[in-house]
Parts: sequence; structure tokens; C-alpha cells
Amino acid sequence: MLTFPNKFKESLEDFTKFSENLKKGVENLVSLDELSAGFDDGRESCGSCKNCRKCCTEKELVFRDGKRTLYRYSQRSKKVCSVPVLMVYAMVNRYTMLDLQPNRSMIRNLLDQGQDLYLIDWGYTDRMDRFMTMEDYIDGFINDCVDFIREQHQIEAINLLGVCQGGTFSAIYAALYPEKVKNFIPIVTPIDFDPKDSLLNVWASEFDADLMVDAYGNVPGDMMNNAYMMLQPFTLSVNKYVNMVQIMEDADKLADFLRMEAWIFDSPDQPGETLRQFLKDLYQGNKLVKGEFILGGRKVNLKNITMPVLNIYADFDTLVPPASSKALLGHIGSSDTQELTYPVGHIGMFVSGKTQKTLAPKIAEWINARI
Amino acid sequence: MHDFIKQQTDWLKTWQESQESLTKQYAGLSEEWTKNILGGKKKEPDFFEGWFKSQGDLEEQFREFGQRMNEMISNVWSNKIPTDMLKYMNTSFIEEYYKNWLSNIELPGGIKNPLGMDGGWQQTTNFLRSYLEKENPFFSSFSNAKITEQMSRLFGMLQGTLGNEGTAFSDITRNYQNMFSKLFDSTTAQSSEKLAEGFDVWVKEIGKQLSAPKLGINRELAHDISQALVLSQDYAKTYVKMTRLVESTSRKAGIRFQTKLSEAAINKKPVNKFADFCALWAAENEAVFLEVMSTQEFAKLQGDYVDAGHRLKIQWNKLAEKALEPTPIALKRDLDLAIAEIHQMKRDLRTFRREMQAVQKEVLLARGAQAAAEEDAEKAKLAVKTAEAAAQEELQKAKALVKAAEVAAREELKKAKEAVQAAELAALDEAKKAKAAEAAVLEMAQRVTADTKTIKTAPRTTTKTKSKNV
Repeated sequence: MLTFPNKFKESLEDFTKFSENLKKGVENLVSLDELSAGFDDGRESCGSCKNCRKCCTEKELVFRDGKRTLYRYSQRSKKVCSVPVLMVYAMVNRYTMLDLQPNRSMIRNLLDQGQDLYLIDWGYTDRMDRFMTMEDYIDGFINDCVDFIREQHQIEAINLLGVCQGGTFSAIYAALYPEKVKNFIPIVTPIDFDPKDSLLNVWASEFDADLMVDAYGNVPGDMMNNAYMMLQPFTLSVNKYVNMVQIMEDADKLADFLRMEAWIFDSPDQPGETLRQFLKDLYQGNKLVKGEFILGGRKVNLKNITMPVLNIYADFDTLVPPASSKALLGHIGSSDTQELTYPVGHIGMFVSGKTQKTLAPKIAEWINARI
Repeated sequence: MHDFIKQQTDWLKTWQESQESLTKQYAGLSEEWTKNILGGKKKEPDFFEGWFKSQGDLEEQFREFGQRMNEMISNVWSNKIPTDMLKYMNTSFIEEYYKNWLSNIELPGGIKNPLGMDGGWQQTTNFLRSYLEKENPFFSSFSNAKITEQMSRLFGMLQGTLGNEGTAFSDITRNYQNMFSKLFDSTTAQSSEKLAEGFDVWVKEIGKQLSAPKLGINRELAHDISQALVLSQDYAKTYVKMTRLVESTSRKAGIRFQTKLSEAAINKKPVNKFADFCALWAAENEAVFLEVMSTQEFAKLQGDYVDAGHRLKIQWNKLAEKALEPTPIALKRDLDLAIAEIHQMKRDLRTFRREMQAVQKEVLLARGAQAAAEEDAEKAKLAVKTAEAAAQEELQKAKALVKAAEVAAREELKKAKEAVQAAELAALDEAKKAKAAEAAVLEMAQRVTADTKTIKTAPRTTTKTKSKNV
């Protein structure tokens, strides 16, 4: 008849377990001396990221222009593809997402598949980058990097892989310099900014980007980060940390969680003029798919993208809705196109167990068939 | 560090023991209370006092735990993880949860919230308000610094450079700050609205004073301050609108959450586990808020709010520049100008570098072409020489051949002459022989004639002769 004591006992046990987890979790927090990449072979920090004490995968600086850097990853396979891949990450957050830890690393997986990888690190934006434009980044640094790689390998064209905003930059580049891009692989890349199933698209349509850039200069990274958190305010601000308590007793899982958190909050500021154009011309004007986007005085025509394209996007992406990425194939001139989707979110594309085993092999296979 | 770890571990052990003992005590009291309710017995006031105390002790226990957790995380991790992450790892929610957990334990007879607990965590307003101004720069448009802190810095600078501490102008700036602080520290939309109205009245009044000469500020500064006040009014108005929307949405979300909790209790599946409780709270609130936040109307309001904040920030930046003008500190606009120039120079340099590379390429190509032409010329010369040599050789060979042929011809001629001579000699010889033969034949013929004459005169006899072909 009295259910109360039983229920109470159950709750008591639950909370006792919870507090035990907390206790162990705190002990783990104290003993977890350093948030490394979970990979200790005695190498020192590469110094390219604030919160990652050690590099996950070995790489070498091969080209630099100010704080913008081009890295080449060390080979992990005996048979290496003759045409290298240049990876262009977004300016929002850091490329370390692609190489978070040994068992969650798209870069390692691609290297294991025999790909020769180069990666652009935009660095941490500071005041000196206040007037850097999209033209400086795309027609400037990306183009310099592409030329550098072409010269090093004595080849006419390279493989270009762009992630998120880096994918948009890469698409613009591929449209301007199709002769230098052999194959193009955009991943979770926004192209059509019209779909209203993204809160970001809806919110961005109603505020004055000029005022924001004029007020801040470079727009603070935490401002961008909080906008992303507002897409799932309660899940990302409360529930995530409640769930964290459940795994705190396991030192490895706790380290995994914190490594991901460190990445999330490692958000560089956004260069003012670049963000101004990105917001006004793309988020608000949707000029890329309208064929009205201008870069450095040149109109960007997506129809010029005639090389093979492998378009990869996530079914549950809240940052870049699938429709926004999917639109690419309808606007380009290539006759060799393929789509690849995963039932994951924006970040899950790079770190989830679902993609770890299959994404890199599929990309490599697609590239190898076109070399 | 070792001592610190030991200290914390000991404290956690003590805390856990205490928590178990207090919870059991509370459970015992609750069980007794339930039995009495069902048995219709009245309870002495002392019992309730003990029950409330027990509950209060538990709450205190959890509050302390939350605080201690924060302290520990800060001490141990502040130099290892980003500040923003620490901000969100605010464990004080444990204390909030506990209150709700207690209030939502299912009791027999369908009694809910037996202790009359309300407010707290199921009301999302407080949580969301932190997004509006204090923590979340996306809404506040003031980055990671509170708007009131920025004000304080700005007017501190202004007063520092103007040196007018204690004057009528400093009173104005102080009141300005106080009113804004109150506005953003208010806990309800209603009080925010009242304060915004009060601010409007104050601005009107101050507008008159700003132009008065006794204020001791120049006309330009008075104009800039006046402009900042107007923009502050706009900002406050949109802020009030936003808090009103957040509050009403929060109320709706709170009701939905409570309804779900009640439904679960009625269905004999009370949400008592901490993780389940949090998941439900987050899911229900998020569903309600996202429904509102995905509308164009919300985007418009947010846009107005953010834009108003940016306009005010730009005006304050301008005021800050004015404050710094008399000082030797480099102004933002000067730095921006310098940075823009450096940037342009870098771009020019890049263009120049690319042009140089193109020219270098052309030069290389031209050099290559020249080298190829020179090589071809050399080759041609060589070929001519070789051809000449070959021709010479051929000539020599031809001469030699001619000589040889001459020699051979001479030889042949000589041989021919000799052959002719030999033939002539042979012919002569043969002719001689023939003459001799002829003579012999004649002689023979003469003899024959003579013989015939003889025969004709002598008896006939047959004679056979053999002739030789000469």
C-alpha cells in the first residue's frame, strides 16, 4: 500500500550513486593532470592550439603567411595517393576537431587510407586581422597554399576538401580556379542560406551586420559560440553537464568529454570584414546560389565547378541544415557528382563512432577512383 | 597539491556520509508523516518543525556541495580549461535540482508538492535571463563584459580625463549608471518595465540640464552624452520587450514541465531520478522556447535588441575616444587607421609578389627560349661542321677514289694496250704463220701442180692428205 518508502528508497539509491559519481569525478578531475590529446609519445606541443597540449597526429609546418599556416601531415601508409588533399577548415572554432584524439580523428583515418594531407590553420584572429576580407583568405592564402602544393608536387591540380565555412570558401575557390582543383569534397558546407529550417538563417536575417562589425571590429568568438548554444539552449547548457556527472567516474570518458569541451570553447574571434561579407552576402543576400557573389571584383559562378564533387552532409545538422548543403549539386557544372550522408549532427560527422570507420575510407575510395 | 587532494577527498567522504544520514532521517520523517496522514492522526507542531528542519538541512547540504564543487573545479582546473567552459560548469544546479526532487516525490493519495515548494528551478526565467544580459553576449551584444561594467569603465575614464569629480556632470553619469544597473539587475519583466519608464522620465529631465553652461562640459560632449542617453532608452525598451517574451515563454514552459511531471506521477512513473528529471526539464523547456525562437517575429525582436545594443556600444566607443583624446594613449581609430594601412600594404605586397612571380615565370620562359635557341644555333654550327667534315671526308674519299680509278684505268689501259700489243703481236705472228701457211699452201699447190703434171704423164696412184685449219 505504501509506495512512498520504496520510491524514496529508489530515489535515495539513485542520488547516492549520483553523489558517488561526483566524488569519483572530482578525484578524477584532480588527478587528470593535463588535458592531452590522449596520445603520449613524448612529442611536445605544436603550439598551434591553445588548449591541446600535444598534437594528436604528427605534422610539419611547410608554408606560412603571418599567423596563417599550412601543415603537411606525416604519412601513416606505405602507399600514398599521388595527388594530395588540401583541407580547409572553418574560421569558427579550430581545426583540431578533425584530429581530436587517436580514436576520433578524421585526419588519422584519411592518412591510414593513404591520402597525402595538407591543412590550413587560420590561427587566432587578432586586431591586425580586423580588415582581412574573404578575398584575402580565399584568393590570397588558399590560392597561395594551392600553388605551393602544386609546385611541390609538380602537378596541375590538387584535391580540395572543405569543412563547414571552409567548404563555402573552398567552393568559391573551386569556382574561381577550376583548373587547379582536381576533385572537390565539401563536408557539412552551407551553400544555400535560404532554408528557414535553420534558426541561424532565421536569426541572421533580421539584424544589422554592419552595426555589429562597426561596434566590435573583430566579432568575439564567445558571441558566435553562444549563438550556437542558443540553438539548443537547455540541452547544451544544462543537460550536457548533468549527463557529464554520469560519466565522471570513468577517467577516460571524462577526459574525452573535457577534450570535446575544450574544443567547443576554443573559439577564435571572427575577422570583422570577412564576417561582414559572409553575413551580408551569404546569410542575408544568399548571393552565391543567385550567381551574384563578387570576390575581389570577380563574379563567382558555381557553374565553373566542373571537376568531380563528393558532397557530404549530416542528416541532423542544426548548424548547417542538410538542405543548405544539398543545394550545391543543383548549381554546379560538374557531371561527376555524388552525395554521402550520415545520420549524425554537425560535429558528429567528425567524432561519432558511426563515421569513424566509414567516412575516411569512402572519401579515399572516391578520390582514388578519380586520380 | 597532494594535501589539497587529500583535503577534498576527506571532505567528500564526510559529505557523503552526512548526506546519507540526513536523507534517511528525512525519509523516516516522511514515512511517519504519510502513515499519520493515512491513519487520520493529527501531528504535533514539533513534528513539522523537525520535518522542515530536516529538509532545510538537506538543502543546505546540497547548496554546500554545489559551492564546494565549483570551488574545487576552479582550483584544480582553472589553468587547464577555458574560462567559458568553467562558466557553464556551474554545479549550483545540483542544489536547485534537489529542491525540485524533494517536491516531486510521489506521495500516496496523489499529493503533490507537500511542502508547498515552488519557484526555483522549474521556473526557467532566471536561467534564461542570464542569457539576456549577464552571461550571453549574443543577446546582450556586449561581449563577455557586462554592460554595467562597460559603463563603469567608460564614465570612470570620462571623469578621470575631465577631472570633474563631485560636479553636476559626475552626478548625471553616476545616476545614469545606477539606473542602468538597476534595470539589468531587476528580476522580473514588470520591474524592468517600471525601471525603463523611470529612466525615460530621468532622461527627459537630464536633457534640459545637459545644455546648461554650469555643467562644465563642452557642447560637443553634451551632444554625445545626449545621444548616448537616447540610444540607451532604445536599448532599454528592446530589453524590456525581450525580458517580457522570455518571461511569458518561460511561464508557458514551466507549466508544460509541471504538467509532464504530474502526468508521470499519475501514471505511476514519477520522475525521481536526477538525470531523468533534468532531461525532462531540458526537453520540455527547449521545445517551448524553440517554438518561439524559430519565428520571424522573434528574429525581428532579437534583431532590434541586438542592433540597439550595437548602436549604444558604438556611441560609447565614441565617448571613450573623446575621453582618451587628451591623453597620450593611442586611440582606437588611430590604431584602426594604422592597421588598415598595414593591411593595404600587405595586400599590395601580395599583388606585387604575384606579379613578380608571373614576371619571373615569363623571364624563365624567355630564358628558356633563348637558351633553346642558342642551343639550336650551336647544334646547327656543329651540324654544319660535321657536314663540312663529312663532305671533306667524302671529297677526300672521292678524290682517292678518282685517283684509284685513274690508276685502275691507267692500269687497265696499260693492260689493254699490252693486250692490244700482245694481240697485235699474236696477230702478226698469226699473220706470219698465215703467210707461212699460205706460202706453204702455195708451195704445196705448186708441188701439186707439178705433181699433177707428173701424174698426167705417169701411171695413176691415189694420195690422201690432211689439211690443217690455220
